Amino acid sequence: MNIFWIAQRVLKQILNNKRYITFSILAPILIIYFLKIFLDSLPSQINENSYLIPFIAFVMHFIGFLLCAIVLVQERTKGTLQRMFISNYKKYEVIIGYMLGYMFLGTIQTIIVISFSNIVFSLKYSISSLTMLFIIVWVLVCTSVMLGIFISTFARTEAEVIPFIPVIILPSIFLSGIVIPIDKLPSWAQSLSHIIPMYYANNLLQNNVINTVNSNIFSDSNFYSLILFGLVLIVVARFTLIDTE
Amino acid sequence: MQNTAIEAINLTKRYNKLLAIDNISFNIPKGSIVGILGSNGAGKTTLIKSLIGITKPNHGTISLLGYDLMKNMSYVRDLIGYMPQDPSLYDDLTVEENISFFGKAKSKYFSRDNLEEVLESTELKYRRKSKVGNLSGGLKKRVSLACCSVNKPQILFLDEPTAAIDPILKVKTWKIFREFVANGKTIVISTHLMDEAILCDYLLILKDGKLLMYDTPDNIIKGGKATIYVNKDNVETVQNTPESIADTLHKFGLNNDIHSVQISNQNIEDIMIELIESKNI
Ligand SMILES: Nc1ncnc2c1ncn2[C@@H]1O[C@H](COP(=O)(O)OP(=O)(O)OP(=O)(O)O)[C@@H](O)[C@H]1O
Ligand SMILES: [Mg+2]
Repeated sequence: MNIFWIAQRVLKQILNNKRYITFSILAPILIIYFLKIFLDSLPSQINENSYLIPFIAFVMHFIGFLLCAIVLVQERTKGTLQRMFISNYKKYEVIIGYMLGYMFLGTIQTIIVISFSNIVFSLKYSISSLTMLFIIVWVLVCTSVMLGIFISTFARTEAEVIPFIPVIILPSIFLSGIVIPIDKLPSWAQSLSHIIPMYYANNLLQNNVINTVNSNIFSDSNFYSLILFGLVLIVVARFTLIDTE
Repeated sequence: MQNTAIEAINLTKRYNKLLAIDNISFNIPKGSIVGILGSNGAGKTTLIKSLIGITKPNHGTISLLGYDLMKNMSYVRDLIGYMPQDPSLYDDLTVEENISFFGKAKSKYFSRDNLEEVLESTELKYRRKSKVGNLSGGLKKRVSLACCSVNKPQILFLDEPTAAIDPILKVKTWKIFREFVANGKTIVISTHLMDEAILCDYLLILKDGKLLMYDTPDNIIKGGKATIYVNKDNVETVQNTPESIADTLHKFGLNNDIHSVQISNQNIEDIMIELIESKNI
């Protein structure tokens, strides 16, 4: 039950804050809009879907990470995190509560963004590929939350989160295969891509949602790699949540 | 029946080289209000944080209501409430949402009635739907107080709870504190306000992390000096301790030439200042 209270509170906090809600809904829509203009300016034979959908996932991943890191830094500096622990909320309840809250936010975002890109790109998705898309976004958002919790330990103020933004954005875009195909990367960069959640998410999206090479993601090893990645991050996040001074 | 609410033995807390709490031991009986006094940086907040297990002491043991704190952390935390020195609230949530969120963590001790009761006693009913971020400093303090008392804990730890609260509500708050401890509960309060200090049952005076004094306000005042002004034709001033007031008056011989006798005891503030400034331990 406590997990649910935390998830509810995390959501309320975002929904009650006009800046957060504008940022988390408007930013993905704007990015998709400009991406459309960019793709239109390219030679026509490219598959728009293979850029668009991974970008949607990336935007969710990034916004989830950023909001979570900022909100958690606030929790630390304001002392509400400590107050949660004193009120007897447990560490795992905080982690899972945050995860659920952001999964819900990710779902709303995805619905809005997909509907929007349906209008702009006039794309049609089958029910099964939409289901796959949601499952992938949920798992990805969980890794964003864990990264957010982890990174928030290294920032004493909200502004100190800023240097970590490129650390997350650059590899997620250039080393995940969204923009540059993995086999075109130098070998050192190829091995780095394996520690980037977007790499697995992009593979999953390419295989299961865009090209439907596979019939379902549960037989795709990338899915389990992404989940394993998330689990490792949960353990890391658990240790960065400290309840004593 | 266990009569001790809080027992601390040889408590020591060090921040690098700084000794924030220096080998302190004390016992706080149930049903009392204990005031922690001391200048800025004396260690009041550190002591409170150690007593509830947010700060790990380097040395010493703490038991709350007979339970060893470190061994029964989760169980004990259900029985206590803590109000931090800074408000520590969610600015984007309303008054009610903040109180319920922290209250619901102890579901056994939370109900709609509790919420209504605490909104009533902190006089926040009319602002229940306001976002905390838009409240004044004093109102935030009241929300913070409501958050930690909504579960009706056995022991309340309050770090400067009335610092920004207006005088009328402060009087009411103290009445609530008194009712609260009347049925065997305990309040530990840190304060800089001497008018509050004398309302406590016991005072714990800290200086540089050391325990200077732990006694009732009455005993502390008795231990202070009294000044006796005797007007015998002209004004004379005599200083001595209250115990020997009679002896002092005796010397004057109470005859018709005595026009007035005035005795003024040192107040708790004077005693505090003297204590903190004189004893260089
Ligand atoms: N996290 C910390 N790291 C290092 N030093 C600390 C820390 N917390 C407190 N101190 C130091 O410990 C000492 C006691 O601090 P504490 O906050 O307990 O004082 P206080 O009596 O509550 O003061 P105030 O009246 O200003 O609230 C101070 O010298 C303070 O600088
Ligand atoms: Mg303090």
